[in-house]
Amino acid sequence: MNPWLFFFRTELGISWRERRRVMLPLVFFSIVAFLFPLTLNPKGHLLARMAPGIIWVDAMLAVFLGLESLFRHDHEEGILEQWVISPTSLELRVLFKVASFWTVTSLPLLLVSPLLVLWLSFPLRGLGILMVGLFLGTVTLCFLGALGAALTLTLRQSSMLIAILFLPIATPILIFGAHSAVLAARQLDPRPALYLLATLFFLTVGIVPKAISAALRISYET
Amino acid sequence: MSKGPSLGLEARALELRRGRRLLARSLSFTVEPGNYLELTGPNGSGKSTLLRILAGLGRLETGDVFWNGTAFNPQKEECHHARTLYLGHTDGLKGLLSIRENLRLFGTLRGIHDPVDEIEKGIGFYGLQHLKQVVCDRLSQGQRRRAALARLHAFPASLWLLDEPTTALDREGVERFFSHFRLHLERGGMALVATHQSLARWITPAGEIALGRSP
Amino acid sequence: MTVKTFFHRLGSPPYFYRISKPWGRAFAWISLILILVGLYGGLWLAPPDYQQGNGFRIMYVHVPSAWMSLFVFMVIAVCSFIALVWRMRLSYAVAAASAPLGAAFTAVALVTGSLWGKPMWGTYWVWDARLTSELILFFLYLGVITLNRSFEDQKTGDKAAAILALVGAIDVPIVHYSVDWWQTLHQGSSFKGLTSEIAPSMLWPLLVMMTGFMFYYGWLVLWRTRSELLLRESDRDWAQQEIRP
Repeated sequence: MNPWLFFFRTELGISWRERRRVMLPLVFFSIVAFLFPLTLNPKGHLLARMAPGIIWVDAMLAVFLGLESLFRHDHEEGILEQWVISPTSLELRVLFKVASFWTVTSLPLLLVSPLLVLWLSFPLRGLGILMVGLFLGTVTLCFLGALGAALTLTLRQSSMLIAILFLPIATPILIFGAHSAVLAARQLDPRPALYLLATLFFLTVGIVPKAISAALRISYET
Repeated sequence: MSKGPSLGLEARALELRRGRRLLARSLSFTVEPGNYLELTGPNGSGKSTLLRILAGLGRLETGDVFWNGTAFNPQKEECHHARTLYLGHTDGLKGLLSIRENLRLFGTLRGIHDPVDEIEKGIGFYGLQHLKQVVCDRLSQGQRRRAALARLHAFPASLWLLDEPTTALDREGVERFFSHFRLHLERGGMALVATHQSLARWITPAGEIALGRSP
Repeated sequence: MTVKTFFHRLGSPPYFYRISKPWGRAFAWISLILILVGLYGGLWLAPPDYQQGNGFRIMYVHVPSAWMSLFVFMVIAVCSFIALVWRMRLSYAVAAASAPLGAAFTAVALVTGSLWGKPMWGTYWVWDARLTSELILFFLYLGVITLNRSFEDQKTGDKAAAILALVGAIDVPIVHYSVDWWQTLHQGSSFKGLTSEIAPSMLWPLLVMMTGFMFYYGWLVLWRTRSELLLRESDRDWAQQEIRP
């Protein structure tokens, strides 16, 4: 098997072995979404109109929740330092690592999003666009978040710092993402928003692994 | 100093720092094929710092490093990473994977296409056959160390940078390690070994780098 | 002296420390004069706006601050790039010295923006595109500052903050665009912060203020960079000599 695919599969296998912990973002995602109808008026259009915003902010928080432990174990077990001095590409390894992180934390969110759409009485015709947007957006968010995690790798209690680094940078994704769903729900053309989201997706996947690699190297330099 | 085409690894006028503190100044040494150097000194004297710089983790601020007479930057050269194996304080094993899975994962780091035979030999050499399916979290410290050393066996490299390799090993483990080490040197391998107790009674080092004298 | 050798020498902290002192002093005087002239022109000479009366005069602080908040971020990004690529120690010091200044300019722009909003929009905060992206910029600044100060080793902090600043610099225009786009989607609140046509008698004090703010930043950044350099290089001989009289 191709060593990169083997690496990817092994990473997924490791997550599967600690699935109880890895499933937490999914539970979090559902609970937060479930709180909104309870705290707002569950009837009427208010909830439906807020649904895209709720789902997107919720998804971002769920991604954020897993970030601190993204590199933490590999760092403590001395795996990451072997990555840095490996003769193979660090950037590619980071790419596969984040891809496996996405598969484990965000793909389940995508799969339960129809449930949330029902809870929040979001019009079903917007579901497809919402999911496409969530796909593009969560991948981008995972990479940006991974950068925050890599920059704060050697710091203790880093989650608040990750939030400060990650959330402002992530705002454009939330804006485009949530509004693609808003447009779809209003039966307007959501494509501009999706194209913008896709542009950010490619930009991030192209640039951010380099930045993450540099951040990891720096973390070990001292 | 003559600039002859010396074989092996040579360091000239290195400076070691931790943060701002200067640990050692104008450190020069040569390791030739088939030989190894012992790194000694009290805790915090810069043994690990030196190994990390040579491995390409730490940054080389002052001084030069040569391989077979050619200067290079340990942080940047991929071919240096390919010829070097670094074993630090941590064993570099994923706790949720078994020894064999760990070695296979390490193979992807070395860019080697699933070397099943070598992995089995390494596991066998360090007497871990009966444990190779056990998840590393369940192993004792000594067993984990053996697994880490099995990595050296499965993935040969010409330069070993070892930070206290015999920590937590039992007598038999130490003996296995040194017979492995002897083999490595006989094949023309080199090593720098940071240690607290002299290794001379096992294999005589070509020299000693004593750190921790006031710079 | 060629340009190249000039930059080479400028990169050396002791040389910079030596030559920056008179420059800083000159910048301080120039900025003081320009800001006084600009304030006089803006607060006394310029006629009241026919729509906003005297309220528009806060523009003479708001616009230069907002402009500086972006300018300083770009300075930090350029310095970070130079520092990461050419390992210039001075560059890290300039970036670290600039970040709190940029954050302060951003904060001033936000506060004056809301104050200006009260007479114009009847409320202190409107989700206006400019104010919103200014707020996000403020958070970015906080991230860069916090990250830089979080590490025990200053070098690690510098490099980590430099990476963040570079990513942030790519992000700032995207944020701006996204917020603009989001605004056009929610029509109905079409406020114009700055009218496109502006009378010359109102314009010149603004330009003078902006130049004055630039020199003010130049002065402070030189001054702060000098102390950053002393802190960072306190174990080197030149810094020891400067510290001990």
